[in-house]
Amino acid sequence: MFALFRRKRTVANTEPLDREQVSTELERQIGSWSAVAQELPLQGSTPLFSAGLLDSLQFLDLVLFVERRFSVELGHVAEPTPEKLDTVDKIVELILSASTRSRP
Amino acid sequence: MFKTIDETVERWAEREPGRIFAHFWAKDGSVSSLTYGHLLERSQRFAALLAAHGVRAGEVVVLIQEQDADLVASFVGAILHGAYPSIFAFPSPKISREIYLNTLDQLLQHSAARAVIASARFTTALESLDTWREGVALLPVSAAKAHVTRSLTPRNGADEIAFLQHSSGTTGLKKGVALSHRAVITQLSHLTEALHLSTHDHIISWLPLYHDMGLIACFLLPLCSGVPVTMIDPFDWARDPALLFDAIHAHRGSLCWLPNFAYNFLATRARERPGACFDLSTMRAFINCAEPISARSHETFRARFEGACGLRPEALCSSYAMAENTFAVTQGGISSALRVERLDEDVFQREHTARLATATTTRVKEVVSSGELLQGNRVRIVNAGQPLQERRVGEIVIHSDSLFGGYFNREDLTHAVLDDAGWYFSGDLGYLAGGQLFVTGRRKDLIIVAGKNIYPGDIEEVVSSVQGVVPGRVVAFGVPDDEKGTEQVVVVAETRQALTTTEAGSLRLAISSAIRQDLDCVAKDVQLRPHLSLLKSSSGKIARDANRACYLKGLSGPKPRSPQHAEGDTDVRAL
Repeated sequence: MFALFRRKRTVANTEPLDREQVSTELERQIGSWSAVAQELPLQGSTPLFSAGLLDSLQFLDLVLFVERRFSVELGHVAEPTPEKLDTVDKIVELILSASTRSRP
Repeated sequence: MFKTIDETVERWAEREPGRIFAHFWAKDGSVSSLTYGHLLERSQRFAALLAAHGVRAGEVVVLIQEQDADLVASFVGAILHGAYPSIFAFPSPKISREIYLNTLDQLLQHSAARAVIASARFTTALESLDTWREGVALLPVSAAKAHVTRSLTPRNGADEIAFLQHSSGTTGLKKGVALSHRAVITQLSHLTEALHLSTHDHIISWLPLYHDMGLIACFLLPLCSGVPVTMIDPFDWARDPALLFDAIHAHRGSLCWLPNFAYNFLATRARERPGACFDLSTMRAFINCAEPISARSHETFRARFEGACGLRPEALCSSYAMAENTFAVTQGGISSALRVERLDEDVFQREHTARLATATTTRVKEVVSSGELLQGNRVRIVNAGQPLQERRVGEIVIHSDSLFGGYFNREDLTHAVLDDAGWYFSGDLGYLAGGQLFVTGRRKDLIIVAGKNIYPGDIEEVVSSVQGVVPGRVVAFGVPDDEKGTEQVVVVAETRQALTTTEAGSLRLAISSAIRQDLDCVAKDVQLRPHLSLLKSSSGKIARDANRACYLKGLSGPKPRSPQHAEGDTDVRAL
């Protein structure tokens, strides 16, 4: 497992995350990284890495954004890869699973 | 060093069989090491494998493998056998199997390859390639184990081809750079001297071996000089960039080659391990090479790592290199401090002259020196075939004793860049000042994204085939991305019909997907324009420079409009 995904949570997450809100925030953030995604509009099933909207270096940005913004560790659910984070729907599922797992 | 690569490896193994040549650093922190003795033994098995399958000296062997001990052993094994190895990127889940096989098929045909040695996990995917039926042997790495090692007397001549280097894309595959043993050994000898290489050095690398910087500086230089190297898989590094610093810390690394984007990437993405900080105090050179060097990227890197991490500012070095010259033409920052010139940008653009800025200069352009010429290398700056004076900007033309012999089986392409007197026309722009070379841009239409060469023509061909785009009415070019410290790809395509917002979004996505799938490349921006609105040159071809200038002007002005409301669009003009 990468050391990147081993760090401690810094923000306690006691409230359940809202699926729609998570999705909206992700779409907004991805739109800020990709001119093509910004004008699509982006849908939950739109491929991100495999359709060339994000590059492999932005994968790390995406993981960092998700873990910081939603106070989750994706590594608790599965080792993050571009394939596992290839759509907003997939990312939302991982976030919600990770959130449930790490909530006290 | 000796006259050939095979002779050099055999002598090292004979004299110091237990000496470690390379460490392979896994993402979980485990390390495996390869000695010269074991390297020679494994290489001889690969040589025997090729012989058993009828591969003859002078035939091309393609290597499709993970970055591990088998890859370096099969490379050396092919050379021991007298064949020409060429390392090709392995199949990535990011690119479709069909496209990958098609690209490989092109490589096999252009190079007339006789065999492919592949890691076990790739052989199944490769078996469906039609070319196997035409006499190309597909050999799994594991097959070499069944072959008995046998001692081979070095038999390659110094002027024989040692290996081929290919860059990516349809255009790159046609241009296999053929390098002789003499050129490689000569380059390594000059590089050893320019770097003041010693037995105290340790090279740390995450670079792929199908790239000249990884192959020459981080594989063949350590192999032939006896300086150890630690290799990290490029995919592992991209996911956890701090692995590079872990390896530097663990092995007291001293030399590391990086493309410019990596300075920004490491400065903003490398996260320190809990309870420990990076120790970069042993590093005497981070060498910026393979894409335009940015003073800002160096400053970002220095600001992050100079204090607690112990980075010495003088460790920021530079080099100008290319596969056609085996590798380096210049080396900066080792023998003398790295120079950064502040130029008058207006004079630079208007008069193509590098005049130093003064206190009254309003617009300043910073250019990082690529350093001094390596021994045996000469450079001229020319315009329209005429040499230019110092500080005048023109095309960089190179003559050296490590220059390639030509593109493999492509005399036509060779003659386009190599004149009768042996001068290589690089297609790069720059100037000479005070014995140092400064690279300022490119004349050729090449985009370099994170160190990877991308030919605009390849992108334009792919986009032209996307339904909804007017074939041939597409332009691709690179634009600088200061934040990432590299270039980004932009595509502008014409559509015949006006599109709704939804239709335009879908077409942009289709274009973006096609580029990603076919070329393993990501476009930063895809713009659609009405038919007959792209600028053309007087010869009737789409003018990349002019359309690029229009695009950049559009970014600083009103946002370019899409075809769905673009009637009367005046951003670009049809000629």
